[in-house]
Amino acid sequence: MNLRGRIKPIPREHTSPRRETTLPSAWVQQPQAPAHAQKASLWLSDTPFRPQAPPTDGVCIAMLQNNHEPLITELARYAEAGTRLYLLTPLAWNPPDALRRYEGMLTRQVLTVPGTGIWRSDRADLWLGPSPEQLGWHLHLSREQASALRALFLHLFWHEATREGWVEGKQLRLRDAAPRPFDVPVPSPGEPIRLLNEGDASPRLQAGARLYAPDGSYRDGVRRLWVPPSGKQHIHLSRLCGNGAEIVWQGLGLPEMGTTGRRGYIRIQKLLIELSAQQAGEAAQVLDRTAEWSFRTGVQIGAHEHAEEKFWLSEAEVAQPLLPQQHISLPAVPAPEIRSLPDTEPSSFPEAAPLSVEARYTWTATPPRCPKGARPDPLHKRWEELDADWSKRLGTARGLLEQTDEQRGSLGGRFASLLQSMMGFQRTQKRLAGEHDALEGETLSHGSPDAARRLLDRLRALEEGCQKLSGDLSDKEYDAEKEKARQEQQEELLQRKDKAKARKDDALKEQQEQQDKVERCDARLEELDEQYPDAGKKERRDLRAEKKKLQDERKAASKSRRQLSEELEALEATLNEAFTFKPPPRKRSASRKKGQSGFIPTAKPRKASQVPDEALPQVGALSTHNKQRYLIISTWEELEVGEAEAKRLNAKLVAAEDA
Amino acid sequence: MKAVLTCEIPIQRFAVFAEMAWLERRPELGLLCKAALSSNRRISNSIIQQKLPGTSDTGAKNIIAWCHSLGLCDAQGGLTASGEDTAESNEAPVPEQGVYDLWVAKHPLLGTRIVAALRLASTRDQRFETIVSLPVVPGKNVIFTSLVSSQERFLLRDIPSNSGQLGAIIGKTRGRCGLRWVLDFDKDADQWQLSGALDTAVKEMKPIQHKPEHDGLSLWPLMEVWGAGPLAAFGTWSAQQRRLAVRFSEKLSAASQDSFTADYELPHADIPGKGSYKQVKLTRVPIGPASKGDAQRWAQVRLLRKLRGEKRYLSRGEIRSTFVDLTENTPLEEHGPTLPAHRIFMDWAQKNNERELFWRTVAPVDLAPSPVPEEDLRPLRIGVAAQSPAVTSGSLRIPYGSRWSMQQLVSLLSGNTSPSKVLLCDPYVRSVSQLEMLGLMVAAFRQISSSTRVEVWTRQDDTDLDKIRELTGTTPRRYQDVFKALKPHDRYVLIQPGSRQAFGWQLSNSPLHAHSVLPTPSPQTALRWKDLSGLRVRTDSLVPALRQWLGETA
Repeated sequence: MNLRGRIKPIPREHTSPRRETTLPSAWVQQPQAPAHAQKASLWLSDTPFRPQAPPTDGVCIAMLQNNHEPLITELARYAEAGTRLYLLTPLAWNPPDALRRYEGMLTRQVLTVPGTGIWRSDRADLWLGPSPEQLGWHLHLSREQASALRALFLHLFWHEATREGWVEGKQLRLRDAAPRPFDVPVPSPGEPIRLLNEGDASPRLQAGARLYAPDGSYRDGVRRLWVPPSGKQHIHLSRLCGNGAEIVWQGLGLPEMGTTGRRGYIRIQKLLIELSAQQAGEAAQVLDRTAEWSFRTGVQIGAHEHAEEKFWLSEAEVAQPLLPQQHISLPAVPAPEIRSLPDTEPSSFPEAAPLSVEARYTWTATPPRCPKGARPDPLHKRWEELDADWSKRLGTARGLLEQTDEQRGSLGGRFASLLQSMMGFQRTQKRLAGEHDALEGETLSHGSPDAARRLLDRLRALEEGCQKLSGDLSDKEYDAEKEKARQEQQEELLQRKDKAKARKDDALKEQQEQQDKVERCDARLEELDEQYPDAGKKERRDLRAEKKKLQDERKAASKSRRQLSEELEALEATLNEAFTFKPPPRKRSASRKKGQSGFIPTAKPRKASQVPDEALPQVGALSTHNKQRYLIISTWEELEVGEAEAKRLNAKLVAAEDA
Repeated sequence: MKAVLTCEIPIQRFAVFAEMAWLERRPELGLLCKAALSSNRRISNSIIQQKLPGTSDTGAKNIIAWCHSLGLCDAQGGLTASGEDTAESNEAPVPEQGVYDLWVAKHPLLGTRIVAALRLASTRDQRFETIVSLPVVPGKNVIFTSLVSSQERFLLRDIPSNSGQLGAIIGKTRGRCGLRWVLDFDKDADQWQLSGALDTAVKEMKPIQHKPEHDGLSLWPLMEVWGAGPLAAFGTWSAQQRRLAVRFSEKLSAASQDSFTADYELPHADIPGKGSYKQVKLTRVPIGPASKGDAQRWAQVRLLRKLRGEKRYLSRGEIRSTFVDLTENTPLEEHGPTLPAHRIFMDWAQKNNERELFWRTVAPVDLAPSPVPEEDLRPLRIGVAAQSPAVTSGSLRIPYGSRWSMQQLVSLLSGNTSPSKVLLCDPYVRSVSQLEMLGLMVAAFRQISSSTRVEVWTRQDDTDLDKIRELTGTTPRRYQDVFKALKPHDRYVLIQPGSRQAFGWQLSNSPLHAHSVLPTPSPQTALRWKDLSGLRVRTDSLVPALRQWLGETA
């Protein structure tokens, strides 16, 4: 198989013939139901009920499970003749239009009416069917049966009724049932028509009997058993077949009925009717008819391949015809390896439907895939981190080179004496920039771990060269700045001495003037002291004022003389000062010596970059799940390399998720 | 039966100068009069000296004279009516004289009676022109009781007058006095009483407080008089039957139909010597049918009403029994009313649109477990001699009026066996008659086998269980305990022979529903029976409680 392009699931199929298969048991339905010729019968009949003349004694009793049309029609005819009708009806019975306004009708209602029938002094009939809504048969009762039916009716009518009503004012008025006028005995177990208790079994049948059991109950010892086909009880039915019983079915619309031909019974829920010999004979004729369904064992499929029959198998919900070919769509089958995908098939094929003549299986082979929840392998992350660190360090080196370039230009401009030195620095910088450009074109993860380590060594050398260049430039700059500062300090000292010398003469002159002024004041004060004793009052006052003024002037002159003395001392010190050089402070720079403390904490020394021991795969992506590595590839072209890489990385080779 | 007669009695009021006496408590005189009553009704010296020791003969004579002057005795000491009253009441009249205001009533039943008296103060107004002849003269020396103060009793001793002309000043009065006289024919007694009010006080009317009195009138002869007189308008009075024969009418109330009594109001009735009365009310007058036709209609109407009231289905036997109950021992019985035949009854109900009655009575016949005997469907005439009981091996029928002894019934029920145990299920074993019949039944069974144990299951309503236990020697059980919700309607007699198969009888009526005409019947006494039908039943058709009883005894 030529495999190219993306790796995708591959559809596959397989065909298996089943004609030789044998079914253990099955209900088989004939394509067309057999037609039964209607035969006149005296007792048990499914022909329409023949109308009877109204009873001569004017009394008729009837049990109605519902408004069964033939019975209502019969009662309506009796009503027209004025017959008194006594009806046993269920609660919530709705009278039919034909009897709704008939005043000669008394109904008493019970919870459940056991059957539908009519009794008159000369005749009695029961309508039969699998349910009160399906009463297609009627049974003409014998005298003993009629008597038992009346006794049963009377007991239910008088003892069990809870509601009653009759027509008054042209409508049926119901009320609570009034108490009975007498006791009516319960029909004894010997009566041919009686009620069975809850859970009572139907009468036993002699060997060779026919049994029509619409509820599906079966019995041993029955020669012909009519039970509805279904997927249940096949094991038991097979056992009956093995014992010689014929098991058939056709919906005759009868209730449970068993007959030996001479004795028999009909059961309508709890109501049991023991059949007379004539009735049992007619019942046997009915149950000896051919039937639409038959229960068989050991049915070979191939023998019925071309027939239009239906089969109801054990445990099946419905009957179905044979299926010429059954298409069985199997779930996707995962391939253990990508390379074995085209040959992948299920470990086993499921059983086909029992009624299929041939089975065709289809499925899809799917490549192995990385399990959900898998994450990229840590190897990828380690290489990514290494690449990121690589780029960062290259950036740092680039910045340092740019900084030294600026620094070098500035020094050349400021210090002409350094021009020659700057030429040497320029050559070094050019060499380092060339190495930087060479390393910038490399990616560590693209190579092997050894190649990566070599590149890292080159980077480390580049970083050291840049650091040294920057330090040398700083040292040159500081030396030039220190010489310049020395010259400036010497010039400033000479200027200050010149100024002190010029001021010293003026200060001496001012100091003498103040001395003179003090002396004059002292002399005048002595004069005043001498004049004062001889002076008059007014003169004394003038003398005191003048003395005060002189004292103030002397104090001011004395203060000024003291200040000038201090100034002269300072001028003298300046004139005698010697030159002392104060070097300028060195600029803080990146090349600061170790041990110097600073406000910003010193960064920890860089660790050496860790290079993974394994290289990344050449194809696909590496993932990990539960400590298992998966190498994910997408195309068949990657298969060869992928298998080698998976082996190297100890990984399982899988297809991409969208495959 | 009662008759109530009423009338208004006019009151006259006048002031008169009279000598009267008010009865005052005088125990010493009462003592003397009591002693005289037991001694020839005479107050003698010896009696006085015995009761009042130390009294001299002269003193005794003076006492007798004083008693005479009081009216207690005559001059010789013989007790008068007043003296007898003193002996009884210890009160003696104390004479006085003056002007009195009297209220006087006059009627043939009570005579001329002072019903109230007041003393008046004498004045000098000289109103001689207002004095007129005394309109009525009350009886003298007759003790009257004031009708407005029952403690006050007095008598009129005399009315002094000039030349025998009695004068009085007539006064106006607002007083009114009514008479109500009740004649109780059932008790042959009468009682009358006055009511109203008198203006003896200035500002208010004082009510009359009269203690009832009786006249002692012979009542049934009076009824004969009325029967020929005012009562003839309603029917014919039969003095012999003491019953009014009336024509049956729908106007006769249901209560009257059932109780055979009626109330009438006579516009006017006289009682010879006792006055005339208007609007005389006669209550619970015994009545009966005037003719056979009336009796028939009466019986049918009663039956229909009874049946309409029964909110249940009734078998023909129950209807027959009901008809017998409604007619026997009633005024209807002597006319021999007839229960219509079932067919007639059914047609009548249908024609008259009696739908409920129709179904209640017709359905039990149409839907009987076994056909109703033709005899039961025929008319039933009360009082006609019955047919003989009909008996087969599995059924019995005792028609109405049959004469069978309890022994005959018990023998039939036992079926030629000697029962060791017998159970009677009968809801009603409570009346005296039923208990008497139960005693007969127990005795009859024990005449067959002296060791027969008879048990009774019955309802408890009004049932004297101790009495049943006393009769049977076993403890009766209650229906609600043994049957719970499945109480039977019919009666059952279950027989447990000593060694043979047990069996039972379902009876349409109670075997205790017979009665004897003899005061102390025996099991062999011929009894009068109501309809009773019985059917021998299979034990498996019995209700569980009865089957269980049979199982326990088997």
